[in-house]
Amino acid sequence: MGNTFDFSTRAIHHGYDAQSSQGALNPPIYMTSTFAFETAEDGGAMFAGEKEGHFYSRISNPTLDHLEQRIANLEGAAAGLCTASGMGAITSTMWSFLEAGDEVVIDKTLYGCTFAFMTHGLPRFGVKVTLVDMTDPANLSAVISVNTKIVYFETPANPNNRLVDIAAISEIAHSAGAKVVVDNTYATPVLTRPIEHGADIVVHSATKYLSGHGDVIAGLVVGSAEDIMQIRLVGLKDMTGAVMSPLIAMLLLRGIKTLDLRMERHCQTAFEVAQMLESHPAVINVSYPGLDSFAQGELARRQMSNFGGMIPFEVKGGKAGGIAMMNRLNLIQRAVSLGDAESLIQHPASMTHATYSPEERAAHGIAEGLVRLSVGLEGADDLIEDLTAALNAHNQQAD
Amino acid sequence: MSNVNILGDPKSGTAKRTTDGWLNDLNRKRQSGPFLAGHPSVGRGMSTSSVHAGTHDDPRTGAVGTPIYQASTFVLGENQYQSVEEGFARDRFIYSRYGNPSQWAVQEKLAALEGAESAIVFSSGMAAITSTVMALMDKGAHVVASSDLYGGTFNLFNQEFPTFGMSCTMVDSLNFDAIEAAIQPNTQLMYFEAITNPLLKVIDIPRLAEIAKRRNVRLVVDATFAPPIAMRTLEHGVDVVIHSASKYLNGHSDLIAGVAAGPRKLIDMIWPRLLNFGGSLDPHACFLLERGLKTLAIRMRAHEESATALAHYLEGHTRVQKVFYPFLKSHPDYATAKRLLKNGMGNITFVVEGGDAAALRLVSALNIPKQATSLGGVESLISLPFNTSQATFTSQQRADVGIDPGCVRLSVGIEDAADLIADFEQALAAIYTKKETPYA
Repeated sequence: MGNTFDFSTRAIHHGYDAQSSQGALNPPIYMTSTFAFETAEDGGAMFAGEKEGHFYSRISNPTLDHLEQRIANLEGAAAGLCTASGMGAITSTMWSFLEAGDEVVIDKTLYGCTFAFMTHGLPRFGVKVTLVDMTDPANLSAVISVNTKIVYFETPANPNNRLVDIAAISEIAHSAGAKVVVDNTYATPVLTRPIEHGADIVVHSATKYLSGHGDVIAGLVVGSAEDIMQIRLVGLKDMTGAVMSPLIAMLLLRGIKTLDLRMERHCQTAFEVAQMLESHPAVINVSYPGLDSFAQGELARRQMSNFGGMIPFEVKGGKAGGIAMMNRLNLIQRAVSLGDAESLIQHPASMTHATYSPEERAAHGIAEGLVRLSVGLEGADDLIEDLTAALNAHNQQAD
Repeated sequence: MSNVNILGDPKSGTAKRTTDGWLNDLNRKRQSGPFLAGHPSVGRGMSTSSVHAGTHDDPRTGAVGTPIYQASTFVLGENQYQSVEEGFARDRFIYSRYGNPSQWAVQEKLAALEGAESAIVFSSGMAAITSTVMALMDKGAHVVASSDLYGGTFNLFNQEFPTFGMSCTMVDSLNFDAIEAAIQPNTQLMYFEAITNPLLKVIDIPRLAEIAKRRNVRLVVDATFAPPIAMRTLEHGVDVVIHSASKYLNGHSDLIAGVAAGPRKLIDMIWPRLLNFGGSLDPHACFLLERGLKTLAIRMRAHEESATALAHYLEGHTRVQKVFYPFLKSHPDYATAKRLLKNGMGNITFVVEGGDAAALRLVSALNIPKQATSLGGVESLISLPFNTSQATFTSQQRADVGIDPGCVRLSVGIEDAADLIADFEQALAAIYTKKETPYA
């Protein structure tokens, strides 16, 4: 099935021919660790890379292969790779292209564990990591050098929805010979396809919107066939070993079939919720790319087809205020992660971004009172009612 | 040793009931359940119920979402022994054919969506049907059923019933006089499908319910084609609603399951048949079904959107002779559909010029819809009644039930309408431009 079909159609059908598997409408789950060779010579040829085929599920597996083809197609990339988690996707990618003495430039706002890996993990192995504010691409130009191998960022960034201009950053990175790696977990290929804007490699925590049901931990990488082969055979096979189970690949293939529908609902409900929050007296600020008040509105409209399901906002009373408000919610679950059918809320300073020091958080625009809401698939009215009740009570308390 | 930690449904079946005169209280009401999460989220919308109702966040670990309780059996304590002794075993966990937390979670979600007091999941739609029907009929009883029944149900009524001295009269589900006339002194059940297959007749269920109530007969409706986003069948006076959950409810064409939902009193009568006939649903399938249900509301909207667009397109095509889709004004039951259905579905039946030979060429020429039976999945499926669902009929029998040569059954998935229309455009153009006559 070619690229001429719309997103939903490809999300359901791309890359699977039922006739290849007994006519079964859905691909079988190849729950196998290893594959028998027809002859010993065949096995040797596969190991030597002279013959194509699956020989061990840490390297490749037919069920994972379906998922890899599908995500690559949806992201507009040549190839894809499954990993056991989003962090597995990120570290397998980074390890595949770096050695001691290399330099990496990262945006200053990243998911907490990514931030920890970049700022504490990589330097231990002699990689120099420089943090810049990539919302202004000139900051990248100022630090990039011939030693820079990778430029890495998220857009929208976790937790505060700052956007980075993928095309502008890619142009600067490529002129210095560096690869651009984008974490597209928040936007998903429904809203932004970074490869189309010039990025080289896209990483995902597939745990989030791609799975969409809060029931797996998984990661995905897409890029050129050459880069993906390198990550498969170096970062994944020999370094992280962060391999996805075929059963999880089946659940992800299933989740991706409704991705377009789910994102449409997430975006629609999030917009309504963001508007309500912005008008509520207990809320100090809301950072949602679809709101007129959003600082990078022009970039949001240029780079995103819709504005996502994530709403960071600050309520009166700082950290204690944010936590008190969260504890008043009934329908919305207090939990980390995001992109599920269930709405989830968390407090970055004590949870997802606790790996930052308070000084770092202040420098990186992560307020201590910030709460991060992942708007689920529930009815907008029910969510607004839950939040309004909690905020009203909060406002009375604060007054 | 007393089991202070009551496992199962803590609201029901306590020992106190048998000693406090509960059994002698004529006003006693059966409570809904058995549930773990503490049922219906009153006032919540259907999307919110789809996501949250029944879902059992694990209290021990805080895990969001129901764990997969992949266990065949449960450790027994005093309270479980007591439940067997005193007749509330359905409210406790004993053995997974009797009940399992993964089953309960999805049962509670289904009950909330249908507005039912209780629900049971089964290993297939047919398991739900046989357990329900055999629970509600005695030896020698009679059922009045639709003449358009799904083939599996038709076989049950025609081939298996005589073994039990039971009988069935099949009538046109739109002919209320004939339905009334078919009711005999030994009639215990009226059995109908909410929307028939393949002609998609929309049945006036409130009217059937009125007849059933007046004639003191129970009414069971298979609402597989009308999941609760489209219609909450029980609200129209039906006693028990059944679904093949393999279809819209699960929605991803990757499991076989069934459900029966209704008042606790009747579902408690069906439960012993589940135990006897053995059609229990595996915990892993329960997990997948619960997961599928979380997107039921948004999937149904997408099915309706794409199917409506495609139905209008087909109706305007010169090679298409008839289109049956309940939300088309040309559909004979359009008024009933508008009155009863809050959401459309993906099923469209249509008749192409050139008979079954042309229909065969059409399904081969299409790229997106797969040739397969079943329906209600995210992917479009297409099949022809003449060589699948009604293959055992003679052409005269097919004509008698309104299936014309060239009849095509389509289950529209959630693909984009524009892609489906483009695919039909190219396929219809290709098959009618061939040199040989399409009327072969």
